[in-house]
Amino acid sequence: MYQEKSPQDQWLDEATRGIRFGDDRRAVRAELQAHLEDKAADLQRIFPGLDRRRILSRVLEEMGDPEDLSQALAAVHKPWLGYLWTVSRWLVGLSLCAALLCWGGRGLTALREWNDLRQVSQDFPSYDDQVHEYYLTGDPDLPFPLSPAASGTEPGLLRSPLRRVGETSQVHAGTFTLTVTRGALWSIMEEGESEAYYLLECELTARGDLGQRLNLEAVYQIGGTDSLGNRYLSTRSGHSTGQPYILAMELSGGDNPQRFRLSVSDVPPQAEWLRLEYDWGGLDWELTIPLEEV
Amino acid sequence: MSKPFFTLPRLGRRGKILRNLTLSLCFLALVWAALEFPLPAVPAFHRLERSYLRQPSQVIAQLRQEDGVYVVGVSQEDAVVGDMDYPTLSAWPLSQDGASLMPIPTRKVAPETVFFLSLNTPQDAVTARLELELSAWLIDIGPDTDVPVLELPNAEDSGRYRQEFRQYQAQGQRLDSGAFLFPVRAAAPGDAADGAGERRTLSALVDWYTYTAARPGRENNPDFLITAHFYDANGRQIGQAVLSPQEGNPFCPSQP
Repeated sequence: MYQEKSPQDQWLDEATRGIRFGDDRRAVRAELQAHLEDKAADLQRIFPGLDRRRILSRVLEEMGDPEDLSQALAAVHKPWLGYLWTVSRWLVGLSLCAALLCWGGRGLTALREWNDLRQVSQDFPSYDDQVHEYYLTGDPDLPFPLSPAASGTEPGLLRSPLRRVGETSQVHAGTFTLTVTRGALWSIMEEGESEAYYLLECELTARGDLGQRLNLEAVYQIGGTDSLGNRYLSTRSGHSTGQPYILAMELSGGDNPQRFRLSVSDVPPQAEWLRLEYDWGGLDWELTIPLEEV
Repeated sequence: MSKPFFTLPRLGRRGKILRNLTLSLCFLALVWAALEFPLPAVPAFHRLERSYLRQPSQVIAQLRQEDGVYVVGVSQEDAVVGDMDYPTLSAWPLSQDGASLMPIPTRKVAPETVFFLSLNTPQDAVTARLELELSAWLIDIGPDTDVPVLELPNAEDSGRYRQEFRQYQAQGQRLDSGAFLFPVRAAAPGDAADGAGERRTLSALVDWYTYTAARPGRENNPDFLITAHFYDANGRQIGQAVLSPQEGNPFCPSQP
């Protein structure tokens, strides 16, 4: 059954009609209603004998023309700001949910993997890592890792570091910063042989902007020249050719900076430096590795 | 009641909107990071180039194959193809002798369509046409001998091998960069008796190993000759590019 609105409700509807954003309209309406109730209560106190209907009628008169008020309120409460606020609330809620969804599972997985990796590397570093570490330190007193669990002197083979990698500068290549941090030139002689062979092992580190990772293919393009004028091809061009080249591979355990192993055979013991040379894809750079006598 | 040490400023509506939008940007940045910073194909391609320690090249083609999106860029010395779905970069040396052709690799073992791209295309070329002639030795293996593989016949067992001859023609699609993209489509349906063999053969044509393993005088399987003709606005031929295991192949040493 249709019920006619009270004069108070009609006045409130009229006064807030100009506010187009629903939330604002409801809030202002509630505020005006509270104000009306306060005024009515005051009048009731002053004129206790007056009936409710006449009090409300008097209050509405004092509140003024609802159409004028509607125009004034419309000028203050712009709808676009209200809609933008609603959109921003939805946006922050949805984006927070999306971020939690993406990172929640990923974070747990990453944490689990990191814990597992940390446990494994602490308890059991790989044999290859141990061998690389041996050559890179260039320490003559360090025992050679004979197996994952044992180290000592390998029978029939004599290893000694002749030169160690000195302090190397950095080079900025594209969005990466490269440097050689450590390494050594080794003499390795087998029992019964009259000549030793020489092996330079060094560690190249690469730090990328914003955590970007260097692709191994780029390291495969690094060639070199030593202080005696001997040229060394890159891994990409020298592998399987029989010519001396710089063998590159990525070492495990490096996130940022990444770690790469550069291994060069037949570097003469008299070589005082090895210069890494790169010229590929429009980018070229050089990095000199000093080799200091032990 | 004691006054709290620190209270957040009370924000008006505008302040709340600004706060919400800022927070949204931060959360969306976290989502972007969780997805490993995906970018549109060309910016992603340049980022891939930087990770290969290369200067960004000039992009001349972007295409979608059955296995994903590929972007091709050229520099002074080579053309690089970026497989954007399995991010890797491959470099194809540029010929210094005019127009050449480059196969666009695919990870699909039996593609329905393979693509070739022209490099150093004649500037005035408005149309282009490609012709492909090939022969391939195939043998069927597998428990039901229904899986065709490319293999040259050996003397003892030559009866099980079959040789297929095929010819294709393709109209070049002129790209904004001026290069032409040539799609070569398999003629037989995939479930036809010779469909699988044809697709394997086409796959070998865009496998760069076919070109890096080629040597003068070595028998190739498949053996093929691809010729692209370029025409100007008057229909006059103004250039040609050839690609075969031994000709137009930047990886094959020149004949002595």
